[in-house]
Amino acid sequence: MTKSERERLFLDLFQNRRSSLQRLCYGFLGSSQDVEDLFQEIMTNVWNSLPSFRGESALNTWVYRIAVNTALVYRKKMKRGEELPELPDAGISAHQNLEQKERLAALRRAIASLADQDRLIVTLLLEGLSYKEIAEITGLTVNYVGVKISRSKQTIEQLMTEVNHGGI
Amino acid sequence: MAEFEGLQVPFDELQELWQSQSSRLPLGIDASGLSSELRRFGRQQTWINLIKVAVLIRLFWRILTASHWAPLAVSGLLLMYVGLVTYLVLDWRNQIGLSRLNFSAPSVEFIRDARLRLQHQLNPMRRVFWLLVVTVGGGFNLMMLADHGSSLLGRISEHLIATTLPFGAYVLGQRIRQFRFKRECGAVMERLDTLLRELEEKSS
Repeated sequence: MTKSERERLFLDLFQNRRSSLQRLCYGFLGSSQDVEDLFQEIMTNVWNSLPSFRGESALNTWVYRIAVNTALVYRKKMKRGEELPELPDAGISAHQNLEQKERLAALRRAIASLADQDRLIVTLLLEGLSYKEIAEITGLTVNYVGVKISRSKQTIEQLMTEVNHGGI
Repeated sequence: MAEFEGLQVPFDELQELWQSQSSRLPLGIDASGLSSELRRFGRQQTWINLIKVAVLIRLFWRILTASHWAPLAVSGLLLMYVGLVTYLVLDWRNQIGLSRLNFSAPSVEFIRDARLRLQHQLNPMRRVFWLLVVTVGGGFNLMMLADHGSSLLGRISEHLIATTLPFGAYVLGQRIRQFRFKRECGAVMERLDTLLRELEEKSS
């Protein structure tokens, strides 16, 4: 891979995957300051790994692998159980109703309550990846990914139901 | 599209909601700036290693000229440098290995590899311990032999020091390394262990 090819691919990845990677960081960390740090680390690792990209896996899988692995070894500043800071209008426009805002906040809280690996898996699922793709990214079996997702869904369901009934 | 079973909100709706958090996150990163920073980081690492090499070469030349090219001193110096260069190359290679983890590997494989490479940092000289002791100690002793100025007792003590010094340096170096490892890598190692244990237990 030549220098210009590397730079072009990096910029393409940066422009096309930025939003989804940022959401993955947010799903994993919750804190907006840490999201920026983790995102920069992911992009650093993407840049460093680009020369070894041989196209053996799909570019999407390859990028998510880097993102997930970086997140797993990332030393976050936020302690578990800490209250999630409110994101400044994170994509919710003014005309969207209060119910949707509450639902998104509840979803974020529910994701934050999951274990490290489960948070990443659920975030990947929310990004629209299939079980097979998630298995390729994490190195787990498809069945085990299914088990993990099923458990996480139960937790999320429980927490979101509690919100609906005014439990939180 | 699937739903969260029993959940009142359809999953595709949750997906849509999740993905609606587009690029409004407070990030002010400029991609071109980031790539130039990355290149600078790579250059910095190379410079650090080049400085180490330059110091070794300079030291080599100074000792060589101070010894007036005496054959025993030159042989001793060369032997010592075999050990020192081996140490530097191995340490350099380990550091590069750690900084070039394969982040694009599946997570299970990645975590195993990261843990292994991190553990190598604890005692990178384990496999070449005797080579280091023999070359550095032997070289030092040869250099002492070239010095005929001291009394017999003085020369015996010089050789004793030259022989025990590499062992002492190794023990001290290891203690410092272990202390630093515990302080700098302890938390990461613990985290990797937990992740790996969780993965291996449940995915097997």
